[in-house]
Amino acid sequence: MKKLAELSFDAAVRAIFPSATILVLIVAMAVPIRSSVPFLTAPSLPLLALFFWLLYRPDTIPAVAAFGFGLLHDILSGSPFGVHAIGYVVAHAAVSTQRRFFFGKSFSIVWLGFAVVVMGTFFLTWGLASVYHGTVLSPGSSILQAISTICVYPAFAWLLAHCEPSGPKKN
Amino acid sequence: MLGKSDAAAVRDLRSNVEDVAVPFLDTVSQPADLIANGVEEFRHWLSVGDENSRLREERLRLLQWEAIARKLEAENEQLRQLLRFPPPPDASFVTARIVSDTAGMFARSVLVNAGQRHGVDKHNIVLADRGVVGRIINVSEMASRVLLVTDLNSRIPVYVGPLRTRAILSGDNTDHPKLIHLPPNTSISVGDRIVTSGHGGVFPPGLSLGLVSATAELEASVDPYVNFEKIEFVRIAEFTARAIPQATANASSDSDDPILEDIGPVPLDFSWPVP
Repeated sequence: MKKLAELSFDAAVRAIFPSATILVLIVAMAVPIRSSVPFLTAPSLPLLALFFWLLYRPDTIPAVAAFGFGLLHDILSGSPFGVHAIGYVVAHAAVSTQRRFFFGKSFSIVWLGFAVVVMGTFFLTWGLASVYHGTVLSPGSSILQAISTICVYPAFAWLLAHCEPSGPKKN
Repeated sequence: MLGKSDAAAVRDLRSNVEDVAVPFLDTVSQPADLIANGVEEFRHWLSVGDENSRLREERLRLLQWEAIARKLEAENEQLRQLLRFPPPPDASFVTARIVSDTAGMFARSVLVNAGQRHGVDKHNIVLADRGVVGRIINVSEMASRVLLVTDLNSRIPVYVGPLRTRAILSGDNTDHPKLIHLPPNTSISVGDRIVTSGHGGVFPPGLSLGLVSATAELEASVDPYVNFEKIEFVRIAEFTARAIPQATANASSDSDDPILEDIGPVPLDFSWPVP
């Protein structure tokens, strides 16, 4: 009985762990870093985590959750309402439908696929925000953030893979 | 589309989420600030000699400015008495801490940990020690969102330079907002000071914004006084516009009463409480 309860608790923790990491990252990105030391544009860690968990634990992040994460990101960052929500849902759809392509592929291919998803998502959010504001926004900061997100993927993916106690499921 | 329509439901959702998130962000940001302050202290310690020399020079300059300011203050008081100028109402302030980052790509706004409960209202102005930060655009029970002067949606009527050239300070989501709607053949220079003009009724006149950093044909770039990456505490001020009576159109020519000129846009009064 006790073992059954432990197994259920383990299963519950494993089930919510991916969503919890994305939630924590969205809130963490809102925390101000006040320093005169220049930083590169902060990478979009929630998007990175979303991609990673959709690839290795797709059952834990439904599209509704992705939409909710995007809305939370919009609210905390002050972005136009729905911009990141739509971006995350489209990223969810792209990764979920193309997931089989990454089965058995090397890490470089996965990284390349991540880069494509990131560029597409950032282009979409930039376009939606431009439509919202009624003007063509400068794409500079979006491009910088996309590049920094792509660059940190290897390190962060390694961290996520080793954070979960049982590790990611193999494809 | 729902967001653009600014439906009450969207506003309520934002407010409720901000009310939940702000106390958490407030707590989590304090260790982050502690680390950042530690790094800054270490950097200052490394350059303490140069910093001392710089501060000595700045102190001498400020002492000179203090003397000038006191002279001007006395002169100002004499002129007010001469003109029987009524004293402006004192402003009330709420001090708040910035708890969310400005790292949004499509918006330059921050969350502060003061809301309706603390007396903050929509359209209150937000100030730092060096100048204007922005204004309140959304208020919930425990938190408020501040639209920074660098945001794309920020438009502030200003005076530029010693000639008080009228312009609009327009944010563009970069660190250097632009001066637009400059009059043709205007002569503004790099280094000209920019202050609020008071037109529009949101910001009182005379508040510092920044300096002109580059000029072009019909617009100029501005270096804001406030470093938005580093500010931690802000003052949220409330003030009200004071109406000045306008001239009656059919004043009698043989009346003894002086005819008041139509002054156009209503100027606003604002005074800092003297420490």
